[in-house]
Amino acid sequence: MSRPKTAASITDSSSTGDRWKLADDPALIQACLEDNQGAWAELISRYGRLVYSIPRRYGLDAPSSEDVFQEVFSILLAQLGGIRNRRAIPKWLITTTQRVCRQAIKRARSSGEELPDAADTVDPPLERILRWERQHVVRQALRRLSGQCEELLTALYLNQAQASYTQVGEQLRMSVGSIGPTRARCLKKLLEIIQAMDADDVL
Amino acid sequence: MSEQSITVEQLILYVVGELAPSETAATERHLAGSPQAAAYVSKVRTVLQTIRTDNTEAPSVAVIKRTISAFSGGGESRGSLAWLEPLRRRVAQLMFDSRAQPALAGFRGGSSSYQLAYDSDLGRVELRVSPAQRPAQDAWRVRGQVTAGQRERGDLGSVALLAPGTSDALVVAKLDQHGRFKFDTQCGRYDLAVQFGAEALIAPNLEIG
Repeated sequence: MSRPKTAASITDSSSTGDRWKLADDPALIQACLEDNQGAWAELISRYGRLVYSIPRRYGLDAPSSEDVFQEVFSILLAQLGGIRNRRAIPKWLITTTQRVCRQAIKRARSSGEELPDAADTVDPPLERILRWERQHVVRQALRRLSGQCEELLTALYLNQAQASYTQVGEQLRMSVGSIGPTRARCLKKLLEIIQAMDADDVL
Repeated sequence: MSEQSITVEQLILYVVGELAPSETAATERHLAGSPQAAAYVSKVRTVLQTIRTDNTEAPSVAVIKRTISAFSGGGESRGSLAWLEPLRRRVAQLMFDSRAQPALAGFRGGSSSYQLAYDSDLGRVELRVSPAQRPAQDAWRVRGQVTAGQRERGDLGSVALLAPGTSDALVVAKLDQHGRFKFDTQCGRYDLAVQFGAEALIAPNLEIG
């Protein structure tokens, strides 16, 4: 059986999806529907952390969370063509992942499987779900920032222990005096990216 | 620092506490009279707070690779299905094709939609094939329901559309709790595989479109 090749699938020989990093969600979904492997890889990279973190927050252990992860992306692939609002993919993924989590926990309980004590089918409050969306947006913006700015903001804020300017300067080979102004420039750029992603409504 | 000359960078430096006291006071006066600047400061604070409190976890590289390789497209094939390979296959028989039932006027829902049913001792697969509501040439939507024979519904696994006579999955779909599934594909001839525990029902020569 032959399938028609599209411009996207012919020109994209990348398997990592780097070429698709800046594509918006509707373009990415369309490329996936046209069997573009790079676009599918990017979709998983883009939303992998969001999806995987949800079963962990429902109290599932790592292997069960990986099962949920695979099931959610399997459902996504099967239903990709039917998603009407392609800009609302984060919400679709959150809702689907929550449903798969609840099913996984119920299934495990009914078959007498041992579950971590924390595993719970009760959905988290809306505010927490909005926070997941916000975390996803900021993570994606950081990813698009790339280069020195991504490294600097990650070193300053994302690591659990707050690093001093001296430590960050040594780590990134920057003079301590340049860190403050560079940070301001990078944060400005980060907010511009979030705005360009049409996602500043989650802030 | 005059209030007129306050820049976005200065607002950020204000948020991170790196302005001199006189600059801080000037910025606060500016913020009191500028809802736009105040909203920007609020966004910067939210972004910083979000980064600082981000406790999300990344999936392992292995599961990412598995997910990409198991389900990613590749033009001709999505690759051989790991779950299908070891299963004992039972070929199902086509028991019903609404296109061959002209006497049953009104059974077919639309001019180009049709229904099929395959039976085997593992169970039954009923399919409804209709043009997909998406802007792609030759796109068809397949909706189906699997009914298990004497088995527990828990034995039901995934459904895959295969290149004929192979284990090369072109589409993989999960069954919901009622054994229903749906996927979009293009016109052509395929095999459909449904996992029943350690066995697989194969509906051969499924014609789409």
